Amino acid sequence: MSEQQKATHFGYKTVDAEQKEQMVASVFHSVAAKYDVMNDLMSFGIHRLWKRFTIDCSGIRKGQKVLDLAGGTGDLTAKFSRIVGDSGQVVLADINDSMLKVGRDKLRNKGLGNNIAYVQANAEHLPFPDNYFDVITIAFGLRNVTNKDQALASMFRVLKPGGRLLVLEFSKPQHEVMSKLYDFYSFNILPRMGSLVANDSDSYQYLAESIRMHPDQETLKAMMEEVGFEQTEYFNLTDGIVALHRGFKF
Amino acid sequence: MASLLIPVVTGSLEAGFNRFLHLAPDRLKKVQPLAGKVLQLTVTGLSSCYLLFSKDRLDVMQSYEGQPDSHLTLSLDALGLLKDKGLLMQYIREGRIDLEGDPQLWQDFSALLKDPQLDMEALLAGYTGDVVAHLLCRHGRELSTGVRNRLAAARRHLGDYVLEEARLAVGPLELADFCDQVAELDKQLLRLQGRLAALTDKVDH
Repeated sequence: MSEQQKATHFGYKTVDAEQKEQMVASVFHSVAAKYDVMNDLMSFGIHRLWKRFTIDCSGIRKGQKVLDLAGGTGDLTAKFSRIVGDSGQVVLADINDSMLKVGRDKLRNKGLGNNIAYVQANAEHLPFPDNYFDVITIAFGLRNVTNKDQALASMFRVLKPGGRLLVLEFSKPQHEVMSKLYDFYSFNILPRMGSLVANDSDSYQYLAESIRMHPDQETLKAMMEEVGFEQTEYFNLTDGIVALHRGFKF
Repeated sequence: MASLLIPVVTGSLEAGFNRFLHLAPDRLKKVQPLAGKVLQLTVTGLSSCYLLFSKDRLDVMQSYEGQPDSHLTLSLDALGLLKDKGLLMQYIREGRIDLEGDPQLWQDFSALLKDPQLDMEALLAGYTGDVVAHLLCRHGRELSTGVRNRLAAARRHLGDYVLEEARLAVGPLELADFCDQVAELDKQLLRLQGRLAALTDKVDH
């Protein structure tokens, strides 16, 4: 790998690829405890509707195997666990052990766990057999991955033929007015909220910057097709502030 | 925004039903026969949703690609019929409700919906404290009684005005007299028909 290839972005900064992993890890270690509260506050609770829409698009049913990648505090896992039932399996995977611990405690407190496995894993090198999962979801996680193409290829490998990948991620607003409002909110209000509630404005500054550096709807769709996903499409949610990408492996 | 409308509806239904389920412990027992089952409910001309039951809660989904255990189709105005477990089979026979799959599951669901006697005071007390909850409920009851009495009085006054002052409609006694007259006319007509039939018979023979 050349020097140029090793460089990547961390928000608006250019850093070494290895350094990015550590920096992202440090962000999530810092916000893990207040992650759910901040999600509700920052999105005015709308993240629940985005996740609900994702589950509706997943085609999930009893007995299936699901990988909730970058699953964090387990919002999607909780629902998947009830839907697939005892004959199915949900793997909650996250690269960050702090997030995984918060997720595991939360799900156990909800009485869930019989069909859930917790795995600390890097999306770029998934430690699962080929053709193993029926559905893979990655919600608000892909933009933090250093090598997105490698991660998408890794997801493609572990997905069963006929299975589907759902990528829920911040994207590009479709209208200028919304874009301006969103920018003002992201760079002026969000870091202050982070400072007040989680006592950590830097992490939320990173959040705003990393969203701007993430590929837009069409680029991500092309990246998914590049690694082999078919019938790829995306749904803009809340005017494209968030987009759900869906692709199938055949 | 439109794509999030259905998640709002299904999310609200789910939250409301789960709240209802946890208000009384016996409801959690009643949900056990449904645990692990998937019911599809279609409201004709509106939408379809899937009810996925687990041991202590319900998940409502807009789409489910597996095979539901039972599928019920009914019109919007027939939704209330679901509350009456005893009459559910009768409604199915009458064709007011269309069912595919196991009817017992819908009877179990119906049993869950029955007896929604909510103790509002106990419910509110959890949020506001006993005294505020008691006062709110007492004033609520008084307000409700007052509104009902006023509505009944307004209805009486309107009836008096229409019958007595504006003479836009007849009173009950006048209506009864009119009905008697119609009945008498009907009898006379029948007698006339009889006589005509007898006369026609005579002329023919």
